[in-house]
Amino acid sequence: MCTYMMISGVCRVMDSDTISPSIADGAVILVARTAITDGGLDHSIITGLKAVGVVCIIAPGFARHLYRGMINNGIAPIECGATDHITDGDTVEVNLAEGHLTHGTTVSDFSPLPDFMRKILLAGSLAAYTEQEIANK
Amino acid sequence: MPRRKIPTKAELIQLQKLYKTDEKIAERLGNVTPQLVAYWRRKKNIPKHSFPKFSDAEIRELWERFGDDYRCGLELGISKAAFYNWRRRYGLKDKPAFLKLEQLELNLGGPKKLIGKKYHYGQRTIAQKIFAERAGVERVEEGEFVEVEPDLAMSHLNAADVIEKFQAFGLNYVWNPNRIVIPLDCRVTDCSNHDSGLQKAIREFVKRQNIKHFYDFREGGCHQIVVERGHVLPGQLALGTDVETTAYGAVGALAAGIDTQEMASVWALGKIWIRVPTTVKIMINGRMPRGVFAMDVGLFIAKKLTSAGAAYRSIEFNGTAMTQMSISERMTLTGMARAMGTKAAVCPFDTTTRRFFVGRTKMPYRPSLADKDASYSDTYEFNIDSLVPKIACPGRADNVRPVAEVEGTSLDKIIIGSTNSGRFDDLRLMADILKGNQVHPDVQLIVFPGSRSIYLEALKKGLIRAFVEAGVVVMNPQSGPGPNDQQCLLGDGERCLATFCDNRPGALGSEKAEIYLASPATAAASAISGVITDPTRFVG
Repeated sequence: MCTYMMISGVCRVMDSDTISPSIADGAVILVARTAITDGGLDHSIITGLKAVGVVCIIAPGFARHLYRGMINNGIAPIECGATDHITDGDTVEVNLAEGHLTHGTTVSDFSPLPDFMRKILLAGSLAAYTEQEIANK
Repeated sequence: MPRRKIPTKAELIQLQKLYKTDEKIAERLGNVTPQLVAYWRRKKNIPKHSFPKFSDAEIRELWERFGDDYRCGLELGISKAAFYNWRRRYGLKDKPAFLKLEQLELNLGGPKKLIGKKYHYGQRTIAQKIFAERAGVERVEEGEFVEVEPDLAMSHLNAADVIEKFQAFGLNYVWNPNRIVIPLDCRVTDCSNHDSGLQKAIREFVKRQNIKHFYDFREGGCHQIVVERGHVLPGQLALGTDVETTAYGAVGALAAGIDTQEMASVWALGKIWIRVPTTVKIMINGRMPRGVFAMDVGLFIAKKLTSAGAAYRSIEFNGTAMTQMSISERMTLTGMARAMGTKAAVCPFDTTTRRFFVGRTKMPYRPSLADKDASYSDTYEFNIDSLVPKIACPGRADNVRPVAEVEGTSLDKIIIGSTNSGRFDDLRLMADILKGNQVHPDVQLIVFPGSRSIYLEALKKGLIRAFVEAGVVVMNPQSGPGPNDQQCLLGDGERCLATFCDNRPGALGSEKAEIYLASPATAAASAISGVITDPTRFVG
């Protein structure tokens, strides 16, 4: 589920830093144990992940253009390294507005996303957000 | 009706001194319109009152803040002496309070700390200052997300993609055509039918939107044109749909690359989201030795920081060596910053920058300087007194070694161009090295002058003739070949030496080709011998 404030759902943990849409396997949240650099993800994979329903990727860090690419395609990049307690198939809740990652009773913190960023994610892409802003003007 | 008394010239001058504007003078005289006062003024050759360029409040506020004529002058874009004159004009002879207190060495405890906090410049980097100003907020913190309105939006041939995405929004007009610059660059000789169609679409769009700053492909490389024509000014925020947009940092602007969808959103809304980066400070001290140029310094720093060393961060260059560099050399340095994964790179605003803009722009600008107590995620200090010419070996731009270690490696092509070179200084240096020599028969040396004005200057000074006589292939003014172009491509096993900042496999055609990166001097010296050659002995 993805709302303006919160993302919650089943997650898939990735052991390697190379991601592909097939890894998602029905999960909406992907968790990476290592930072995602240039080689681990590219724009075609981002759109592929989007197509299979992934709305959030949690990792200790992201390469800059990948971070931007994910936001602009409606996938929330959450920079949080404290994910060792999360295993495959677990349900987690990501509070985008307050910056909390909740897994059972464990709560980890990350930098919250401001209002306009959450609107981009909720709209699904930067293009859709821009259309909404134009319509609101 | 009594005849109106027309004031004499002396009376009118006196009135102007007291009341300044025609409207106020008319009000004072009564029964007179401002237009009549203006008419009297013109008849008596009295110019219109002009308000001082800087108000009393402005000068006073800066003086109280910095207490130093040089720093205050930099904020306003004037010299130290000019600011002193302004200060005298408004009678500000005393030092500001905080300097007086420091001199008295009063230990005021709490209040002194307050004064220190107020006057020690706010702990902001250049990136923080510029993003805060463009976001319309007082202050931004590193890591914060803000929506900013850029001062400049640049796109080259990929403007066609931007236009398509912009038109999908259904808008008739862009946000501000005066802030959009479109230099077409590239794709002349290797122009396919499809590319010609894209160029036509851009030309038509530009006319419809009344975008004045459009430069067709005869004008040259996109980044060179933007800087050369004064489109980006110190203290401004520039966004471009090209990774080498960071080069604008050479003039004290903050510049970053974005993709075409983001640029379409900028054209539509006039703003885009940005994450305020942390800043790395790099101090470059010393003097460049003989044979060493800005590209060597850039490669040296790329090796020290590595390609991820400044990832998602901005770089502030400074140091004694920086102040000796020309704008051309600074563009090479900030262009090379891309090899460190940086978001933006800025050089300090100083006399060199101010002189660069004299006669180049009439637009006012406010340079941004880092606060004295700005905090940086990392600070590096390098001394380049004993630096040797460097070369990036194939595969990665940070795979840097001294040229002497790979001397003798055979080459097939040498390409001079891109934002890192192709400027007049580089062409003159190459011409000096090539003088009286011929390009080795086994090597093709291809030069891309950065812009039409550089080409004309080189023609005037005889450099183009010298190149042609030496066997150099001189191309039309442009940035040079890129990954999506069809010119100067390398075949399997070919070895190329280029002055770019990208030498990944496949950057210029075949993935089995090898690309070395080096300075124009190394390139020219290597062109003579046909193998990679240390330029030190060729440089006077």
